[in-house]
Amino acid sequence: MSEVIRPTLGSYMSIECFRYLRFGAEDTAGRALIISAGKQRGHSLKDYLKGISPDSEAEIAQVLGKILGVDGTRLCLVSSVKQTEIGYEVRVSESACCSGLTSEVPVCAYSLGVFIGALEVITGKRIAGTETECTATGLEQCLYVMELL
Amino acid sequence: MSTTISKTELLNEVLDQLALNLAGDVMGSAVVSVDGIVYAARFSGAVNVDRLSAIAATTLGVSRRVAKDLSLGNANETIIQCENGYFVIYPAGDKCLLAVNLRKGGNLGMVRLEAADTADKVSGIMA
Repeated sequence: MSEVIRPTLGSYMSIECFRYLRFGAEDTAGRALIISAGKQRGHSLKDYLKGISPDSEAEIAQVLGKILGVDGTRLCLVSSVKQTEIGYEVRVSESACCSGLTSEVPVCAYSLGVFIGALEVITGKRIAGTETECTATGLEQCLYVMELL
Repeated sequence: MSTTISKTELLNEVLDQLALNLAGDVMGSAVVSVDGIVYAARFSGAVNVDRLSAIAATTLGVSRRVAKDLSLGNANETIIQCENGYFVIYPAGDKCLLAVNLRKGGNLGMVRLEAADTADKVSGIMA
């Protein structure tokens, strides 16, 4: 992506605008489009993720937390990254995708894609991700379950 | 993890069988989740399979949206006919799709028959 040049407004815009773009596109073309965009964002972090061991849960959480959290792009707060038998579980809160929304099903397609992409860079493997818990469904955090393929 | 590897191998076998049954018409094929994640693929190295899979899932999403808005029922098949071949997408259960690239002049009738069978097999493997 090219550099952001907005002398007055800077790099940030309202989540309101992000959600119209995201949900409008999803309504027309489905979740795959949004997850793919998120994956591309995750892949774009390769320079920051270089050299991180796939086994280093704390370092993965710390680096992704820095990039995506309050001192980064503010997509979400990364609570934890844990390895599982099939891959990883990522817990986040305050996701831009869902915070403040109410839904019967998980809605974090973009954030999920970002973590799929980032973990694909770290592991060098393809990953299938599912959001099994979401703030929008009334839970405290969102949980992304990652399966290495 | 071994379960997933096993599934991928099974899916690759299904894709190989599809290519065999269609006797040279198939240029490439993939099993993709409806979220655009590729589970198995048989394309040449020149093809960006990740991107193609996302596009296939998005195309299916658009087809479903058209079908819904026009009250046409389920979207059973999406065909992109190009100068030099076809790209065909079939739902494979609720979670996956089957994407097939056919050569120019490929037998679409045979593809329909074989793809329906293949989609059923994929659906069974991914259940």
